Amino acid sequence: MKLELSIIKDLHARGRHFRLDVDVRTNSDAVVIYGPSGAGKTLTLQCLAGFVAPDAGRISIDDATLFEGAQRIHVPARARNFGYVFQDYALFPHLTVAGNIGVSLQKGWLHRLDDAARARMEDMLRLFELQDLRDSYPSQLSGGQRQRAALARALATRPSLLLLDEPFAALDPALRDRMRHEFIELRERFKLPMVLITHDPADLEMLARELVVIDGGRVTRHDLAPFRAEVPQGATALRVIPGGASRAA
Amino acid sequence: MSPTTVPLLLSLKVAGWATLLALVAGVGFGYLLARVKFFGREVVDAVLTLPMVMPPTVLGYYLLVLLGKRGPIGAWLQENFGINLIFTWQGAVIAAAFVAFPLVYKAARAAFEDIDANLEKAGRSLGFSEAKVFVRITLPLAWHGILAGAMLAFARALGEFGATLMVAGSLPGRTQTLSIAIYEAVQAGDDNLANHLVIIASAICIVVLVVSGRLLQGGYRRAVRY
Repeated sequence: MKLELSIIKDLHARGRHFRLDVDVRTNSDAVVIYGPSGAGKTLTLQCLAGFVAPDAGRISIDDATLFEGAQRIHVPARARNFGYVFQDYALFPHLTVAGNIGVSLQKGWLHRLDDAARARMEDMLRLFELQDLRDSYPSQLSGGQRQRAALARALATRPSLLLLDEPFAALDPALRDRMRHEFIELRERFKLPMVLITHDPADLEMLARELVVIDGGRVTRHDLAPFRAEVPQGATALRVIPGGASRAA
Repeated sequence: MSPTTVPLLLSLKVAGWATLLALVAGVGFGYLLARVKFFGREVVDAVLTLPMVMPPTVLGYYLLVLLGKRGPIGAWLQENFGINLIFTWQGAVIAAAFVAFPLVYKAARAAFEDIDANLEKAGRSLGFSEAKVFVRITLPLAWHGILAGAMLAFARALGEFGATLMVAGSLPGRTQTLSIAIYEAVQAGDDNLANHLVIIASAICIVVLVVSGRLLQGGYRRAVRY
């Protein structure tokens, strides 16, 4: 996947001004955007998803233009065909697990599930081990189950790119590593490019092939793997050591 | 038909239609003001809420001026469609709808504002059109709150007195609703009829309160906070 994202977005809220001004060009299938909270990570991802229109700039993927400020091109989120996994998973609380996965596969006003759509839904339930939970509502699920349901929902529509907003932050620490490993398997299986944002160094050590660090609305670092993340004691800023440094240093 | 059933049935008819009108308008305005930011939004909100705080007779007077034969809307309706709303049950519906509208509108706006914006974004990222987002996500999530507001609006419309009397008068069998019939019965010294009507009105109000309370409790308002 060739991603070009060069955007400016000004936000004004309660007298405070925040400017996002990022420029990212990458060919990687596993980009992790890292930064402290308030750095502009989620805003960047939401611009990429099409939820938010930047003020100026350009977003393109594999030479398909998604946003172009000067030409007033803005492809809406529904037409971008990206999967999006929200930090709190944003499962539809009024629908069961099966409903959450099936709702995007339904066609027309009668909400029909044709045979192909039904098969796809069953595949997803099976793949994410959600068959026994198909009739459960999101409020009845554990954190890990919710995450699996959110991934299943996002992948059901065969997206061309998966966007993930801190997908492991809502899980308890013991579960995080296991889910990361499951996620890596999944990624290999689907061969799906992804952009993930996080403030957890463990995410980028395990998941990133390319790292973009954003701070204060700007890209402060852009590195290729392998690299090692290090958070010095007492410091909030991450130090990234590029180029093959071994973990057992 | 007995003197109790006639005003009861008329009241249910008037309140039913008024609630339906208030529901459609309330959901529309509630969604608009919850989602679209525009200059003077809270001023519009105040104007839409006004019928709830204004004395019903004042509201009824305004409606009478607007809808009367010489009023701008009344004259236009009369001229183009031959419709006269004054002293008709349809006029009573309009009056009751105005009084009941803010209850639906307020409930609908709060219900829409309560919805996590990420749920609608999730729908868009799954390829939903804006219409599908509204029908499959927004409306089902807001529905309990809207319905609870509609129940209160129905109770309010059922009890409507002042504005209805101004616009539709008190024609037995035609515009004499339950509340007005109670007043007339007391004025005429018919205590027996008044007692019957009052018990019916009280029973309906209790049922409505219980149902609307259950609707709010059963809503996704709680389920959504996991």
